[in-house]
Amino acid sequence: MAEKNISVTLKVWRQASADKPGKFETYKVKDVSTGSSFLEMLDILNEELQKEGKEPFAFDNDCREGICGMCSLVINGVPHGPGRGITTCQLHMRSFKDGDVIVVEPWRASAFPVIRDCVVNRDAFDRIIQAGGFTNINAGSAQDANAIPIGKADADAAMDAAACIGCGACVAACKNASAMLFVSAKVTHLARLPQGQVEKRKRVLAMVAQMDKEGFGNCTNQYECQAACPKEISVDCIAKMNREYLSATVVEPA
Amino acid sequence: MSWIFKYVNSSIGKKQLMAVTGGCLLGFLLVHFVGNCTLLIPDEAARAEAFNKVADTYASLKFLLYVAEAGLVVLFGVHIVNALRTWRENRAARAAGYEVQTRVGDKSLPSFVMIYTGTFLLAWLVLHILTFKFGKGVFADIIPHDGQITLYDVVSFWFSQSWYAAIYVIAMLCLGFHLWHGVGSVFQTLGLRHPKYTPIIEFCGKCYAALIGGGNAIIVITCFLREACK
Repeated sequence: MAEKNISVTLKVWRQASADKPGKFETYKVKDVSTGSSFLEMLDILNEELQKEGKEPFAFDNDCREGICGMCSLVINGVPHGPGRGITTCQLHMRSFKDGDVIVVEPWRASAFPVIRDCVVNRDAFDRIIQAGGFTNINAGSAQDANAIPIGKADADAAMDAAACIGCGACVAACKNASAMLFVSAKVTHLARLPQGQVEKRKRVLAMVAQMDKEGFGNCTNQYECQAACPKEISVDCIAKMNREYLSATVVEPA
Repeated sequence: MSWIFKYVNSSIGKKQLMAVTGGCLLGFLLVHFVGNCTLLIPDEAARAEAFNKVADTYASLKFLLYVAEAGLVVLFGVHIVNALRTWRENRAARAAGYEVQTRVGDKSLPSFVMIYTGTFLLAWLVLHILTFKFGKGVFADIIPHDGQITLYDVVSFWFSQSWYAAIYVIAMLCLGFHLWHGVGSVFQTLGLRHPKYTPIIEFCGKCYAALIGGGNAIIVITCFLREACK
């Protein structure tokens, strides 16, 4: 594809720290190649800002290949920007036109406080995982890979749910800042497999309790999360978690 | 017992209580709507007789009617209380809003206005109960159709008032909107999702919303026009 250069106007959220009020700043980025990624365009912006002696714009990023879940920008009102099934780092400037005004904001959720500019604190997700997003297995020498047969449908569904990279786009997209898609992806991933079924009831109760404690909102079944998810996790997971939570409440002894 | 408190105070528990109570109210709405359909009978004497017969049947239940009414109060109460709790929490969960928020999901307008349609319906419900249950001849001079004032006389009097009929039509559109998102949500929230059945449930839910909301609105409009054209 023939690439060309475009100029865009960025309206980005700048906030010095969590306890200071933030505001939008407008910057122009000139002659950026449509072949560069959105984050590369921001790198160019930061080089310019540094040249001018200004504070660079802070944004989260790491692997830049869509698997680490660090990048987290709401671009023109959509987490990870336009395009489906991609993270911000996989978004390219060819998705924009010359002269476009692009609004860049952080994930907005009370459970994800802003650290600086568009970097937010997503420790809440880690605490939810710590509450039960794991299996306890006495690990000796590795057993034969085929010792536990798993049906293809279950293996596929577990793998689809395990694709969650924990970026938090679901929370950012939800009008209620609900973490149901993230938590349900973890619950589904493990509950679908024999290794995870042993602790599935304790797990769902603990993870939902932690999710509520972190101050995420409630699901109102609008499925914005599913549409914004870079890994296209399905709301089937949310239904499964609803079911698991109800049965765990009824069956679990304590 | 602590598990019960944990459940009813959990995010999923609150939603499931709303789903179960909402689901039960769907049944009530259908029965109510079927009774309302007697108002579409063209001949006035037959219409009044049929409508009053439905009302009398309920009245003849005596004690059971009170039990049923208490049940309805509980259903509405649990549904509304949990709706308000989740609404408040949802607002707190996003204290700072977005400058730009673009909807990317496939859900339509009704899902975004549930709290507003619900609030309007609650206000309307007060009016509905005041005028039809407790307002027999209290709020206005109602002319009896046949000797004494029957529920049919009350209903036809109020539906002949343009402002009253207008509020009802708006309320029924709100109800249709509320159910458009609500019926499918009941199943999703209870975890009843399946690749084979969910599309059918979603479709039937929308048909149900159109039937109850649209059907009741048509009944009100018919009653109003009938009186207006007299």
